[in-house]
Amino acid sequence: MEPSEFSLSVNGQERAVSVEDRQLLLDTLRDELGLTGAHPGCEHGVCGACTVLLDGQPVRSCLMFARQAEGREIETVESLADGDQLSVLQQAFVDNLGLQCGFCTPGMLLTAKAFLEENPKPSEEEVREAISGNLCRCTGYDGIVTSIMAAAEA
Amino acid sequence: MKPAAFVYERAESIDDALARLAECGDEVKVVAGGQSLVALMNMRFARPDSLLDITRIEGLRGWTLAGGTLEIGALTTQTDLERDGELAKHCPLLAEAIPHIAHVAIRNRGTIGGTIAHADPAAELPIVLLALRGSVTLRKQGSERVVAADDLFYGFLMTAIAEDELLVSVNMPSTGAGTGTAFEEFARRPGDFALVSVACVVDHDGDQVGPARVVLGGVDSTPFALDGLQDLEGAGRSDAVERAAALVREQVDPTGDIHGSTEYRRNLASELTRRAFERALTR
Amino acid sequence: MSKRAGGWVGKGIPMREAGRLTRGLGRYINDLPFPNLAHVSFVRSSEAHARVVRMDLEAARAHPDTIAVFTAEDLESVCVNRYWGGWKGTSTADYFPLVREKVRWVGEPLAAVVAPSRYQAEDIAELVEVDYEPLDPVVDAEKSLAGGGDLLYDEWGDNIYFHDEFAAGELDAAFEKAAGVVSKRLSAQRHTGAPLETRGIVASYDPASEVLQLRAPWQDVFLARTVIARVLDWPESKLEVIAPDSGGGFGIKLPVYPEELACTAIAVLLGGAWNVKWIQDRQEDLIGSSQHRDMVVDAELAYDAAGSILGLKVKILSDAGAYGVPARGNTVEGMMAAIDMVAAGHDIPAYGYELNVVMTNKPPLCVYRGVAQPVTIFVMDRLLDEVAKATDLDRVEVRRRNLLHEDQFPYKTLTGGYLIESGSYIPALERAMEMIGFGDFASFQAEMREQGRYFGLGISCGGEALARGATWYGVRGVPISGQEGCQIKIDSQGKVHALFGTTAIGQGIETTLGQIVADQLGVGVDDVTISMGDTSKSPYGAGAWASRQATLGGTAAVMAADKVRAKLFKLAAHMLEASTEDLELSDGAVVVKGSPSKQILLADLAHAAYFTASEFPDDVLPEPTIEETAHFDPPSATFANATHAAIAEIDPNTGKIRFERYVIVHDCGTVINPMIVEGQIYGATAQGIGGTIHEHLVYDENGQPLATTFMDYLIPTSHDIPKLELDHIETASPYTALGIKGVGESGTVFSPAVIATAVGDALDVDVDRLELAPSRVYDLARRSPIVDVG
Repeated sequence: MEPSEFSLSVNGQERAVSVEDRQLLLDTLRDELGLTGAHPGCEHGVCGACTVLLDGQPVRSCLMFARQAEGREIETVESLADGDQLSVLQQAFVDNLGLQCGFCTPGMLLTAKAFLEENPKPSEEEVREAISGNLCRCTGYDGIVTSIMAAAEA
Repeated sequence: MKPAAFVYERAESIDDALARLAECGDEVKVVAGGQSLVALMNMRFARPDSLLDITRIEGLRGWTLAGGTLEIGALTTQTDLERDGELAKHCPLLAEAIPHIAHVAIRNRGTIGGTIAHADPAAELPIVLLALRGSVTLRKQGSERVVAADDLFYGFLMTAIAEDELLVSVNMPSTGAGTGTAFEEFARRPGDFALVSVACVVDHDGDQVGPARVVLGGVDSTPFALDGLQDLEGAGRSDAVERAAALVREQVDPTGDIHGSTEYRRNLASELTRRAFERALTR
Repeated sequence: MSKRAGGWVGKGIPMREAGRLTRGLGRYINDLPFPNLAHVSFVRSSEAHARVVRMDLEAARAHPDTIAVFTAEDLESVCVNRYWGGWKGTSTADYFPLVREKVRWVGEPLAAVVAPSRYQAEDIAELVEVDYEPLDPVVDAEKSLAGGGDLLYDEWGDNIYFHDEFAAGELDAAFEKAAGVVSKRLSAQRHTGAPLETRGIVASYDPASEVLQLRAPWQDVFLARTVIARVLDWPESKLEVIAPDSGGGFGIKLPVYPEELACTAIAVLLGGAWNVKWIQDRQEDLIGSSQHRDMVVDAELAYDAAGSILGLKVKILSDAGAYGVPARGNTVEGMMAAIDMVAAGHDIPAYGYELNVVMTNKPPLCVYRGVAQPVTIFVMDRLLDEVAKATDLDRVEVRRRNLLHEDQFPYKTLTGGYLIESGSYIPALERAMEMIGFGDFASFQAEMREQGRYFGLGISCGGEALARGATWYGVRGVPISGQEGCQIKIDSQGKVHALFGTTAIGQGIETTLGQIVADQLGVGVDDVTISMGDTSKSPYGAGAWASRQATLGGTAAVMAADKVRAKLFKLAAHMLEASTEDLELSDGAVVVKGSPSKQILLADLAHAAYFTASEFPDDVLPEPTIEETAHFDPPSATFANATHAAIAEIDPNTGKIRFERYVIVHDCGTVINPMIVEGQIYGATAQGIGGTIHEHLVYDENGQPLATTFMDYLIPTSHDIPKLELDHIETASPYTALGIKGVGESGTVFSPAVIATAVGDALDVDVDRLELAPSRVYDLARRSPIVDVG
């Protein structure tokens, strides 16, 4: 199948891509744009490791074709830090062992970022609900919940 | 786990979409949020020749209230519905069901039209629609029709929507004083497809039960509307609850799978009906 | 070997890689950029047991996107040896990289398609047609043991891969004089580790140097090198195995699987023109990564009038799948159950086992966090609960009477040549019972039952063997080392670089090892560079398993640091005109104790050693570099211990288990980094909860897998893991540096039994199987004498 040529707005930049219509947004970000922070964990929308923000809202990049994201604002984990300066949320994950292997972390961070913007002072139970669509196999979630609570209090 | 090749098309307007569907609706699969469809495509269980993206069509998002009926645009996302406090006042059952749908990231993309058209018997919104005796508005080139929920679902992932038709709105009656509603669901983990879900709509005066509607998800190949509830009319509250639960046990015959046997699911259906009915009577 | 100044050990500092991982700068196998990538997709068996009559590759080979298509025959010229290296006494059942003639589980790879993208490779793989002659599948272990169905390996005459019997102590006498005997059939379901990052490999071959470079998140790069070198019949020096960042291992990424062997061979066959990449998808993981537990234990325990154990007899049936995994075989789970049953911190004077490891048409068992110990601990906890019932003792008192006491260490176990060196078995139990309020629970439970609510208190306690040395695999004929290596280099600028033989799999091991090295050499933790996971650079080691990296790698680090220190002190003593005994390392310098102004910086010592060797006599500077290596193989194993206790409420109508409280008191020896230790306990406990309540690899009677996606194979979410209340006891191990014992697996070992005993207590039923999905709990509630279900 011939590739389609279009552009995606990623982390504030217009990026030209040339991919088959069937190419997932996830694979496009990773393979065409070199943004490998979004990870394929299941490729059927359950694990959340591929989560990115679409117009500010978390979505599964494995359940979208790149073509569907044309004209939308995409944010990936690579946009969170300001140069070498981690965001408050990222720093909270570092300080509170909000990660171990780090594979779920980009999706977790983006989910938490959007959540905290809407609910800046959440309860622990609300945090658990907010991240319940993002699977982590290493931490048992406690470090993640603690990190997000710490970021909210910072 | 990568999808087979297809051609992506984007409809810029309803007319545009309807023209395309009229031309070759058998080859074209309409996609909105795609939260069920794309997973199936990744596994190559679904392999359409063409995908018609309707999400850019203006005017299919949001809702209006006219004559006691909510007309909800097909492209309204589940998150839109979840955050709409006004909508919740008119349709508390819908508001109660929405948070059970998967997780935030899925609800951000998933649309009300998409989930109704996909017609998964374990999904939440089809049973809500059926419980409320709602309807959908279907449009094709040159005409439009309204199909009642009772006539919409007729097989596993199958609906009365024709290949050349586009679902443009989902219509639900608003429920007011005198009608109690409740939604119950049990899934292996919160956010998973329901092992059993129940939507209850009961007219009552606080003591006696009037006309009632109970629809169950996850127990059959389509959303399952319980029969025989008219016999409960006039019954007292606790009596009605027990009888509704008993009706479920008599009528429901779910297929067992790795998550639970027929027997388990039947009892679960009965128990959740008991809980939902009981709560509906307090509202 | 003792703690040194610096105080890094014991501090809860963040993981050194955490910052970059939060920025999306993880470099997992799928993230690494390569030129000329060719992607592999496998054609897989749709049948569990069948002969392959015909495979039609014509359409696949003719497809315009095809780079190549390979079958087993095509790989033979490279994969010259069938290699298994399994246990002494096992039959031959090794994997080939691609199936020859007969498929033995659904999903087994038959052919490999190579194309420029994974999308295209999957298109082409669909074009391959396979005709099968079906055979009667053997899906059930009992059927397999009885010889039912078609044999998996005709030449064996049965399906038994490994059989072993053992007895020690006065076993018959124990049962004769017993006040009572409890008998139980206990079992565990099949599940898997499901790391969030699936497996994957990039194989690169350089025809000029004839070196194969293999990048994969293997947990033991040296074992992978050994296995592949033997299959290829190459010297190990021609293979470079490199583990990039790992998105979780848990044991799943220890074996070399058929797909990885196939990709390796394909890279060679394509002559170096392509870097050959395969990334496993989730379905491939759930149908074809190693699987775990699936065991039935018939146990009989003899006890005296005081409730003390006199003897234990078990018959173990391990449903081991269809093949021996290279090196570990599929014996390890059954064997470890047999051996470790009496190495869990109970005083057991007589023991006998009969072990049958049988083949079935399912993917092979191998090792997953905790290996067999979740089952052995479950067996012991269940048996002790039965003794409590039979003797009218309370459950805690029975455990108190049977766990090892302070005066029993070192305790020689009847099996495995283990010496349980130390521990806090009774104190951990007492502390946990105090925390959970064991004494008050019965009245609370009774009160709740009056209201139609069902609460249970579960208890699981004992010990686990960790950091196993050569006595576990090597002496049983398996080429897996028990050792761990460390090389410490002080570079010519005086900077510290520590290289390890072990592999990082996302647990923060670089941080904990860095803390140890920093203390040993008197530098800041950030001044130590840590490297591991590369066979061409690292000293020899055996990787990440058995909670061993910090324990054994840390010990090797202390040993290497001792050598480095001796070398530095000799040189510094000469330069400072002091005695070596008066020197210490502090703040990046060698300092004369008590005279902080008399010091020499590491940078100056390094400069002296590397560039001015001619200035020093041989006894001061025997070699002009500062690089020292040490390897450590432990005497048998270390033993950590723990008690888990939980209060859970059961909904008898839905089968849901809700944790009210969950308490853990654990003792992993010296704690290097409390934050990382707690993270390990949390994560491991979550996996134990998952493997008991949520995760279940179900096969139908034809051997078709029914849980093949994350919609059916359910790993726990943030809603499913309770808040844990943790307390630590630190009892040092005398066998290892700093007294470290190991912590990676503890949570997985004890959590299944605590759930089972809690459900049993809540419903007053026997919970004899570690499979507590809601529908199973619902069934148990139907059998409960106290639950009125109408």
